[in-house]
Amino acid sequence: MKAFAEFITCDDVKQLLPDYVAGRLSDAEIISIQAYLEAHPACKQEFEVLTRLWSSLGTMTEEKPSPALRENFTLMLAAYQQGMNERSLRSSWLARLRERFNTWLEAWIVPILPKQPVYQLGAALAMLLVGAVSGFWLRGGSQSGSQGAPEHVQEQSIQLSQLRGEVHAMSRLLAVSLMQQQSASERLRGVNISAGIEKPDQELIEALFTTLNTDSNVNVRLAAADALTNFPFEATVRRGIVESLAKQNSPLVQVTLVEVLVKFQEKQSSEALRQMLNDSSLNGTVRTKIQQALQSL
Amino acid sequence: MTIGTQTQSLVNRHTNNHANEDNAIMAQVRDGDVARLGLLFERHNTRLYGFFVKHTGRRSASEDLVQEVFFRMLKYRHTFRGEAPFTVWMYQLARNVAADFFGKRSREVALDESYEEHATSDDSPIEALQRNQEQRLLHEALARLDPEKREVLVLSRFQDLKYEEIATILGVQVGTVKARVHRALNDLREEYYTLTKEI
Repeated sequence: MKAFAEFITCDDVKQLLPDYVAGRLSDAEIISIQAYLEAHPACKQEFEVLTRLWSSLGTMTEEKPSPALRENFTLMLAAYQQGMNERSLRSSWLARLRERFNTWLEAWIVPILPKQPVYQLGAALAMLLVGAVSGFWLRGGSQSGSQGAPEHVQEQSIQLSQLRGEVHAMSRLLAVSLMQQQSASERLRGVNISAGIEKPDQELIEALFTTLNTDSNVNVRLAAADALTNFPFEATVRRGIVESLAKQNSPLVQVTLVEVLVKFQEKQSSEALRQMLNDSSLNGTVRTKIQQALQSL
Repeated sequence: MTIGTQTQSLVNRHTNNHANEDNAIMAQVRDGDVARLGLLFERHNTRLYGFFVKHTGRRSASEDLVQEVFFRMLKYRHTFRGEAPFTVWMYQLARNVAADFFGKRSREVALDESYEEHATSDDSPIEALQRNQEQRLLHEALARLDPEKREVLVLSRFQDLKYEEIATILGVQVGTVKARVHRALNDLREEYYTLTKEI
C-alpha cells in the first residue's frame, strides 16, 4: 500500500475506490485516502460521485434464471452421461476382442514361428513363394478351364458380376447418404467416393448436383464439380453443369465449371457463357476464363 | 483490526472453503464422475446468469449461454488443473462463450426485452418509481460501454471476485485490472449523466 505522500494523482486515489467501499483497506490506508481528499476538494467531489455510482450498481437487482435453465441442464447432463457410458461399453468390447486375438496369436502362431532372424526371413520368403506359386497355379487353372467353359465356371462368373453390381449399388448409396450429412468433411468423403464410381445412377448424379448447387462449403462444391468431370458421357451431367454455372456465386467454382465445359467440349454452353459475360458484376478472372473458353469451344 | 476487516476476513475464510470444495468437486467431474457437475450448477448458475444478463443485456440468450458454459465444462473437463479457484476457470469459459456470442451478433449490444424492475414491497410508490428509473438508466449505461469495459466492471462489481482472480481470468496484471475498472467506472459515469440529461 502506498503512503499518503506517494499518491501522485487523483486517479491513483480513485483506483482504490472499490476496495475502499468494500472495506478491503487497512485503517492506515483509509486515513491516508481521507487526508488526500480533504486536501483536494475537486478530487473529493469526483470521488463522492463515483462512490455513489458504484454503490447504486450494487443495488441493481440480481437476475434469476427461469426454471427451464435447470431442466435443460439436467437433460444435457443425462445425455452426456449416456454418451460416455456407450463409449466406454464400446471400447471395453473392443479391448476384449483385442485381448482374445492376442491370446490366440500367442497360443497358436507364436510357437510355430522361428526365433532366429535368419530363419524368420527364410520363413517369410518361403511363404511368399508358396503364395506366388499357388496364385499362378490357380490363375492358370481357371484360364484353361474357361476355354472349355464348364457350367460351374460360368455360374461363378455370373455370381461374381452380380456381386460386383451389388457392391457398386452399395457404394452409390453410401456416397449419396454421406453427401446429406451435416459435417462438411463427411459430405466431402461422399463426393470423393462418388468420383470413383464407374456407373453412376440418376440418384447419384442428382445428389452431386444438389451438392454442387446448394452446399454451404465451397470445398465440397468444388469437389462435386471435380467428381462430375468423371461422367462426360452422361447428357444430364453436361446440361446440369451449364445450368449450375448461372447459380454459382463463388468465382472459384465458376472457373472450375468453365474448365469442365471446355474439357467436355460442350458446344451448347456457348450461349450461356456469352450471357454471363453481359453481367457487369462478373469477377475479372472468371471473365477472362470464359473468353478463353469461348475461343476454344 | 476494525470490525469491518474482521467481518471481511470471516467472509474470505468462508469463500475460501467454498472455493476448495468447488475445486475438489470439479476434479471428481474431470476424473469421470460427471454427475457431480449438478452440484456446481446449483452453486453457480444464478451468478453466471447474472454475469451474462449484465454483460449481454439479453435475458433469454443468457440462459443458453449459461448452458453452453456448463456444456464446455464437460467437454473440456480434462483441461481443469485446479491450480486457480474453480470460479476463475468458469469465468474464463464464460468469457469465451460471451466472445463467441458477440462475434456472432453485431458488436452493438441492445436490451432485447424492455427492462422492468419489480419494486420491493417496503418502497413507497414514488421511491419505487425513482428506483425503477435508476435501474433502467444503469442498465442502459452499462449497455453503452465497450464490451471489454463492461466485462471488467461486471466481474469486479457483481461477481464477488478478487482483483487477483479477475487478473487471472483476463490474463493481465492486478494493476491493469484496477486501472481498467477505474476507466470503466469513469465511462459509466459519463454515459449515466448523458442519459439523465436525455430524459
